[in-house]
Amino acid sequence: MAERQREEAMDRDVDRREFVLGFVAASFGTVALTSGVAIAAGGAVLDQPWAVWAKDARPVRGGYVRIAVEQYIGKMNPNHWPVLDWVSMGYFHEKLMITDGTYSANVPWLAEQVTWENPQQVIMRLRDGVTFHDGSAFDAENVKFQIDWIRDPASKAWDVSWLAPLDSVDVLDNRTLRWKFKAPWAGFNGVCASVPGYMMSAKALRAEAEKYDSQPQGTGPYLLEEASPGNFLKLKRNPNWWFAKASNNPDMPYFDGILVTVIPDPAVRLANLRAHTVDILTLEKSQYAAVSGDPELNVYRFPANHVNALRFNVTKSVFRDIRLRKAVSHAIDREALIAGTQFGLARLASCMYPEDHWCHNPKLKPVAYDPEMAKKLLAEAGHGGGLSVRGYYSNTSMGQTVAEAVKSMLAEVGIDWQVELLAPVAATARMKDLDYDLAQGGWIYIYDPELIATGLYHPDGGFNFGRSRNEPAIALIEAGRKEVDPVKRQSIYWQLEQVLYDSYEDAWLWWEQTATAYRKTIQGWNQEGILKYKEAWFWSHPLWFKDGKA
Amino acid sequence: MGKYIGIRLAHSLVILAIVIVLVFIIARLIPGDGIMAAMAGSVDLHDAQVVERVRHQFGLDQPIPLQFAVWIGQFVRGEWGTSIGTGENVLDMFRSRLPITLELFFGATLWSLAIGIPVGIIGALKRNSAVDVCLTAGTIVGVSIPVFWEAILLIYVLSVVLPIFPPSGYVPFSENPLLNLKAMVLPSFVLGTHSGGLLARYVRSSLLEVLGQDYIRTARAKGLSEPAVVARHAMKPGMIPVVTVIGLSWGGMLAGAFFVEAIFAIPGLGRMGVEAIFQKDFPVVQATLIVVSVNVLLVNLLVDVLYGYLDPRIRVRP
Amino acid sequence: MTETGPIGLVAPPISRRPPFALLRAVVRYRLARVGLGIIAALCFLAIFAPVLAPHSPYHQDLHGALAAPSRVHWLGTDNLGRDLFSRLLYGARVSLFVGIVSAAVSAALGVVTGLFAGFKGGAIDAIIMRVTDAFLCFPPLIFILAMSAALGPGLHNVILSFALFGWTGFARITRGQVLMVRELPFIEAARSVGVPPRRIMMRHILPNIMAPVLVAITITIGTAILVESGVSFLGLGAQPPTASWGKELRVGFAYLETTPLFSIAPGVMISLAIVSFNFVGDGLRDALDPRLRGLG
Repeated sequence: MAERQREEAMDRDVDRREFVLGFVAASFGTVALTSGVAIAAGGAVLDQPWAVWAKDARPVRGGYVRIAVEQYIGKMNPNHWPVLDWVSMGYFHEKLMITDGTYSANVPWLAEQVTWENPQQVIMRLRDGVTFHDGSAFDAENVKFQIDWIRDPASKAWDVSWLAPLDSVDVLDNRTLRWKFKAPWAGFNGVCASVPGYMMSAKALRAEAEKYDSQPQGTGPYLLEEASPGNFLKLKRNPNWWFAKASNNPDMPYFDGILVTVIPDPAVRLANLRAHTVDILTLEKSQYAAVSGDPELNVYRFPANHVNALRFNVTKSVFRDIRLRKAVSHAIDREALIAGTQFGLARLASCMYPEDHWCHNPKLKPVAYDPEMAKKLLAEAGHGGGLSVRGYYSNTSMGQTVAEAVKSMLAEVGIDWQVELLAPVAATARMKDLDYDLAQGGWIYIYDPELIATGLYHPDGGFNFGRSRNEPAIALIEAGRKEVDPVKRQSIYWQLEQVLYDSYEDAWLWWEQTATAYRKTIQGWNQEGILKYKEAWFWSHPLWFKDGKA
Repeated sequence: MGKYIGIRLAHSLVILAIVIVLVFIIARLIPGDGIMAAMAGSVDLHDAQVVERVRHQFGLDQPIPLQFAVWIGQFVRGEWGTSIGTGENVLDMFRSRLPITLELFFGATLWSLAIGIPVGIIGALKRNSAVDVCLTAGTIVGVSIPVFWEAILLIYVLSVVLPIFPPSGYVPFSENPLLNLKAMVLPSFVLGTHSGGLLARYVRSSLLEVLGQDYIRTARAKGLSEPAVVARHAMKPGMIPVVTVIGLSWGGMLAGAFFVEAIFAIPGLGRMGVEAIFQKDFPVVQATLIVVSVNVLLVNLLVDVLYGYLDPRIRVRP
Repeated sequence: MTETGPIGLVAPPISRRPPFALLRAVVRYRLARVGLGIIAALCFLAIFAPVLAPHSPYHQDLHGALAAPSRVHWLGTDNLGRDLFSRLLYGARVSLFVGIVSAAVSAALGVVTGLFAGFKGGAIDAIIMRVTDAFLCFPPLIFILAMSAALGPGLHNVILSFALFGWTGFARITRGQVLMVRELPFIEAARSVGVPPRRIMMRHILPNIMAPVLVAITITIGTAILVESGVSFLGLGAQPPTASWGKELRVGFAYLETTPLFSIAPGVMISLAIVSFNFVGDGLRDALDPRLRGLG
């Protein structure tokens, strides 16, 4: 594979820089996965076609970029909950693998090469020359310590269930690890491209693991300079970022630093953007129309891999009765919700996986809006005179709007949803205690299909806590973990979607779309590249200020 | 004078005691499972041992009077506990946020003086004229308008429609003094209008009272021009209420700061207090309530003493 | 009507005249007239809201969310497509209800306590006064916010929290008035004749101190409206789908640039209400005692 691309590079009339890049890239290994789902010819990150810089792009060092967000990041140890800002997490933490545009974790990042000896054993070679922000070396010992730390129940890692198929991880030498699984594990790459794959400094974890929540030591392009909980995060440039050297771009990352300010009110955030005190802003859906015409801003809109849903307490509430779950699901006018609360910036969801995900079952249609049926079902289940249920929803501006809209829709069919608007910590407590009937559900950052499925529906899943116990689904989840044949694996997850759909396990609402505004001084965004390569593009293409000045 | 101060001090101590009891009651009114709920985010409460540990940590397993005593002891020693929400030391939180809120207050006080004194003087000098009626109505409006709406309105006019002031975002003074001041203009103005209106009314009435005195009439009879009369004889005694009003509106400013800081995203004590109240972060809530009330108590005491010093009549009847 | 005792006194100052005379005096003041007019209008709107509102304030129409003012929706719609004008009308009900009930309960609690303190005197009086001082060390909003958070969301908790704090002001005023009045000859006369203390309190003292209490009630209604809107602004207080001005203000704030009316209109209403009660209260106070004119 590397051979062919080198020929192509020589065949084209390329300039010297691209040639050097291609040469450097070709000297890195490629990834070979027996899962074979890797479509875009899974190669090392640097010899992907999209890694080639545009000829007239001249990144310039300099400038302090300011971003405004709605919520403070919360915990900075990704294995602890709640973490409310994964974008910022990605500034100082990096993962072993990252996903490409097909939702497959094919792109090695901190791992250099992943070799499957057999479906139950993987040899992983780590990248050389990577150091943590506290100076300690990123090596095999470090990775082993971290994985063992996650699996230790005393660490209270919410993602420990994702490592359940792991038998052991052993250090072979300074840069090599052997991962042994209890059974064939198709989702291993996916887990390395998810939360357990964020590499943390073992030195810091050993010293005081609790402190890590506020003083992370990662390998990322920016290191934490100052954190004021609830107010801001100040990050400064990591001059020793490995990717800068590896991609022969010593100026990376281009920004001198990042200031992430927490501004809870959407109007104030937008006013800051207009006043040029903020450079990058994720827009509220209602602001998109007004802002997209602004000549000083570039506004980009792209599908995001998050799903919004309502979760039922299937095991311990009235929603044990599937008729009531159906009633709720059919009582919601999803199209109206999307039109009115999302201003069209959402895609109507049929089930969990977004429509461009390879595990999305194309035969499933979004649940129809049928309030009459809902009323009938309610009466059948013995609640013709009305049903009162409790729950919670996020207390952000958007959360309030959606919760109220849904509450009103449910009221129309006779269901009184006593919904409380809660901050993340309080919501987590309720979720853990199953202290709700109907609450906010959904999932953010859907990548490998196993992760969301386990997290939500497996008994040990990080976000289940016993609220869902769908035996056929659990069986399918465990089968999907082990199935290495990509076609068979896809069919398993399609079946899983069907099972969850038929049992109305959740009321899926929509898949997200994001709209982000950038001041025109920020360069380097390639909408095509992002649509095509998603995470892999974000991670390998740092932005820069035109002229290096904010 | 000494007797007067002594009595006021004694009263203040009794009030302080009651205040502390009140805060304790309010803080514990947040039901026990509120504390548990807040902790649930970080510990596993299904483990009975963990529950015991948490209860012990917050002293919930002790009898109430003992909890009270322990708490007072801790507070006095400066052990204000750890925030349930962020895990920070509460005293450190106060220390880092106090200067910011003080800057806001300082700016607000400047604004209220800048608004209150001129408006009050003009109102007094031109009493019962159209100008006076307008100004009086204006001051009542200034006092009545909710501070959060005023903030929104001003942000809309001065940041969205006419982008003159940065709408929020606190920039540390050490980083960029100019931006810091610019960002503080709107918030301190919003905070200052309430006490500014109050001040204007006090100044006006006080000045009017002074102008009605005999010695003013004498000065006029002597042939002094009106401006000279006002400037030389009426101003100083007329300004006595300024000190007391600033002091008395301190408490109101604290409440206003809650909103102003939340809306303008200023990382001060007010915002911390609001968030703590909502998250039932009761170590922070307790500490905030104590700090606020002791603050008001001290200011009231100071004002009383000052007033007693300035106006001998008060001392006779404490 | 004058209250003459056995010795025969001249008419007592206006502060001890019954309320109606006071009201007539107030109307002399321009601003107070304006205030009364606004209050009357608001009460009218609140009482007849169901009739006046062109739409139901709860009917949501998501496809028409955040619409600009039109002939169908005079002030546009909110974030769920509900008619803003109708919601403001119903919001008047909430604000006035909460304001009046809060003030009434505070007054009831406070006046009783103040009567007790003033009449009994001595240690009880001193203790009660120190307790009120302690309460008054807390800025009202902060205290009520903390109480509301502790008690939970809902308007009834706002009223309760307000009353738990608001009684202090009334207690002080009442006690002050009782102290002034109880030394008066006609009270002494009643006591010497053997009228039981309770009767003295209810029939002789109380009617004579109502005037300042009335002023306080008026101002307190304004304060209560302010506090309710503040608490609802922060998320406690009114719960969906209740239309409270404070809550509309908060929700509308998010859409400031796109739909400014959504947050400006409720703010105007809140300010109008508070201002008008303050105007009237001011006028009452001026009528009561011209020396106090202009005091905040």
